[in-house]
Amino acid sequence: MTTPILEVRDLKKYYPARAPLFHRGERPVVRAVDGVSFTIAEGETFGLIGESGCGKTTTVRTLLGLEKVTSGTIRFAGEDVQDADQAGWRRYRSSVQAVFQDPYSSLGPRMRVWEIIAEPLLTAGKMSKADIKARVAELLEVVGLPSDAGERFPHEFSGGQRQRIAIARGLSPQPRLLILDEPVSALDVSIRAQILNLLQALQDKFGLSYLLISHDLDIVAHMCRNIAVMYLGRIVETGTVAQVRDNPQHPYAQALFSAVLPPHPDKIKPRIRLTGPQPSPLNPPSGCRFRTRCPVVQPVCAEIEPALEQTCTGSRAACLFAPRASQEDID
Amino acid sequence: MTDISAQPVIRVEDLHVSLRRRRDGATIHAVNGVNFSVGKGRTLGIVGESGCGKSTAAMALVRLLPKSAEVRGAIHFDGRDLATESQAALRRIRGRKIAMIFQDPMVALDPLFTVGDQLAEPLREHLDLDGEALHARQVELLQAVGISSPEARLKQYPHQMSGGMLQRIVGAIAIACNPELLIADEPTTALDPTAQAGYLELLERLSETYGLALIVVTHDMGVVSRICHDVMVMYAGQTVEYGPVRAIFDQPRHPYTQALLASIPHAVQPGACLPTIEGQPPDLAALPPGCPFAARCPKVVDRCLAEAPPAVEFAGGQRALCWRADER
Amino acid sequence: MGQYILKRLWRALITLIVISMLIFVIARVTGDPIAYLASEDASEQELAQVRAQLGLDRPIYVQYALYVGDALRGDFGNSLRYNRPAFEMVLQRLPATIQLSLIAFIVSTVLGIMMGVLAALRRDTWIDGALRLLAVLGQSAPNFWIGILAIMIFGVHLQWLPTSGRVGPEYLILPALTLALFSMASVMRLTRSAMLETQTQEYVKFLRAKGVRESQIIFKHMLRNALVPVLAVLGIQLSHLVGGTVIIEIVFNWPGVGRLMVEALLNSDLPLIQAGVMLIAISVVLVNLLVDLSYGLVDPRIRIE
Repeated sequence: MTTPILEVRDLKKYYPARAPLFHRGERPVVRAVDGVSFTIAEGETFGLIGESGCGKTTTVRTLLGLEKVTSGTIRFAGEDVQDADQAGWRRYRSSVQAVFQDPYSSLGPRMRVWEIIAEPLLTAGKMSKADIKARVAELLEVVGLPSDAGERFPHEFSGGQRQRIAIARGLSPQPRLLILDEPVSALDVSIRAQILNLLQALQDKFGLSYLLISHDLDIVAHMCRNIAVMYLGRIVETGTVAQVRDNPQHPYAQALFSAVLPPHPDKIKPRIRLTGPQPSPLNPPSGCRFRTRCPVVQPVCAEIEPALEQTCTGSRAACLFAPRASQEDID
Repeated sequence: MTDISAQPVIRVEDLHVSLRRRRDGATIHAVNGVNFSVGKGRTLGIVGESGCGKSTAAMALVRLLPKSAEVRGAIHFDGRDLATESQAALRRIRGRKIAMIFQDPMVALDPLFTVGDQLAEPLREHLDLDGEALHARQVELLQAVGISSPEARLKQYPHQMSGGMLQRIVGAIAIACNPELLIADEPTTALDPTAQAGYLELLERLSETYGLALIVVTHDMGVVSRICHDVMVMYAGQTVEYGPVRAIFDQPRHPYTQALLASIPHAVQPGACLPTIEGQPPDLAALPPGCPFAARCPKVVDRCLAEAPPAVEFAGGQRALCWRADER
Repeated sequence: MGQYILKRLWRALITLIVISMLIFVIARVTGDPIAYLASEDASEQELAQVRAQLGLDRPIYVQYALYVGDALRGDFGNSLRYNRPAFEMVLQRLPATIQLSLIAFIVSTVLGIMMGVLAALRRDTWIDGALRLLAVLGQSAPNFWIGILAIMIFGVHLQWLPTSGRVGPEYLILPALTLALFSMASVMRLTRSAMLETQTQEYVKFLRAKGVRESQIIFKHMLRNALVPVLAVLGIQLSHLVGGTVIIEIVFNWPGVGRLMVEALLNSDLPLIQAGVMLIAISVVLVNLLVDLSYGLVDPRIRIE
């Protein structure tokens, strides 16, 4: 079994919240990410899905080093990232790159395209300018942009082309893992297909691993092998796409997938509606966090916090009532 | 199923809208000869990608366009032609007979005023309600959209409410004066899956309960298949295909529609290549002669580049504007 | 909202304490005060006498304790020049200053907002251009220069208005308008850009779709939203109520706190300086506090936490 490219164990990120003036006791915290664990194998695309406020963006920011981890470990290619020295940390940062959602705001408007793509290389300062320009030309070709694009500015390009520039930038330090945060949500349908195909081709060509974040469940299902569903800072179900999408065991995952829009008017399925107030990460409900909105909640759900356990489909779900894997299923 | 012979609530004939581009003053032909109609209790989806003119066409129905916009054609509604009515007359129709809602309910309301105040505005303006009658109607409306404790909600401010609640408030405001037509411009684009589904269900329920004609402008075929009865596919300001949703999904006749439907990830095997449409939409200030989709069409022939295709009719009210529509 | 008020009050208190300490320290740090006070050829004995009189021979913390004790009773000592209680003298001049700056504030706010709204509604027309030009001039020309110019034109040349002193209401006109010019320009520019920004907000589109009258959209909704950032600037301007009139008071010979302060500085009149600075500080803190509290009235998002 080869080393996974990324192993996240019990990752937590808390933010201090504003306390009232004469507050007693502990300072309130926003538990944005509250114990998230997952593993990405090399060359795999792993999907992280969830709705706004579930903590997926914070997870991404922590992985990119934009936020300090509150607790938990991140192992990249077997090495503990927190414990790394300067050199190790820099290696990590150049091995993990990101492509973000909005092609209109993620590229510096005053920089030429070649500068944008070369930025990670220019900052590292290890290559000569000639070599950098050559690399940029290579990258432009690989992402399907014309060779003269380098001298132009981002605003001269369409949304889809800008995303290609962002991808080229992500590829320039030769990363092993690309984090794709809603990479095509801001693009038109016909352009999305182009970019998704490009990402697939790049993965095959360079052996890249992807962490895909999206709330578009169809795209995640198309690109990923394994996925995890997040809710209020925790993972509530994880498994292969076939397991989690087609037969979700956690009530939230069930509700989420039932909300997917049908591909054909004859395929409209009844939707599981969630009622009840939205809990806040400042004060998550006791026991199971989802219990205030769960359609099948029981009294015991307020007492015990469910851990991820293997279910009968093979996925792991954090629900006390998800049918467990029997011994025969596991064998 | 598609009974368009009954008098439609709104009927648009040969609508053209041109705008002036701010950057260089060029004239953009945003909408070029669009025809459609919507009957009572029916939902029409106007679908297309950004820049195809769908939002412009929708806004043109109530003439909510910039001053530089020019509208030609006819918009038959309530026995009048909205394309020729004065702005003053249109203001009395907006919110009263034709309601319009937009993308994100979280920013649809003025943050400095209570929800009740903003719900009261169309009621005061159009129905002249006040005092007791006004209050009663407000409570009635909130209950109709499924909001509990309406009295308390009326006094709250938008930032105190969740996204789902605001969706329903926006819905309540839309139906406040019992309109005949509701236009939803990209109502779900900024939303999460469950919020999206909830909003669409709300629109569907309102349409069924109040017999509203509903026009949904969207880029998402999923929205169309979920709540629309009929669909109009637009490209570069023109209708390329039109008809009942089932017929279009089962047998799309226009290459653009075919490509749109084929590129939905759900239709494709996981990991396989998604079919794409190469190239870019044309510049609306400089439209080529012939079919606007010709430059990107996988089925293009010489004729397409020279002559604009006619509308080819099919059974059940489906029509496509393509020289090769009746092949296959 | 309660939390909000409490936090603000607490901060205001801390600010005042810190300022009082600063005043205390600065006055003593700038050299031996005695040297400025007694006459040139005073003997050592006389100097020592004066020192003991002012308590300057006691240890520093004792001095500070005395200072705070006295200050809380409003006793900053007597003016060295006029030999009257310093704080009283400053308070006596306060009405004149407040009258001047309040009128200027009202004029600049009302006119500034009106001009800003007009410029925003008539964007890119000649009206907009003219108003923006006026604003740039108002902000770039130094107010003492404008003041002198006003005196020359309206006082000397045309002889329409008086230019010195405070005898009757007409004496207020030139100084107040000159003072108002700069702040009016900033208010106008800020109002204009805030209005333009509200125009692009989604809720404006929705209001139009509801069929609300355009006038209601502009004056009920857009203006109110535009005023939220403008209020912040108005707050800052208002806090200059007592301390910001110095130059105008000198140019127009207006008998206010500012002019008194300049005199006191020129005469090294320490008690008077201390009293004046303290008063200005108190008024700034107080006004800021009131302005902060008023945000809650205008913006419900702050009011309801």
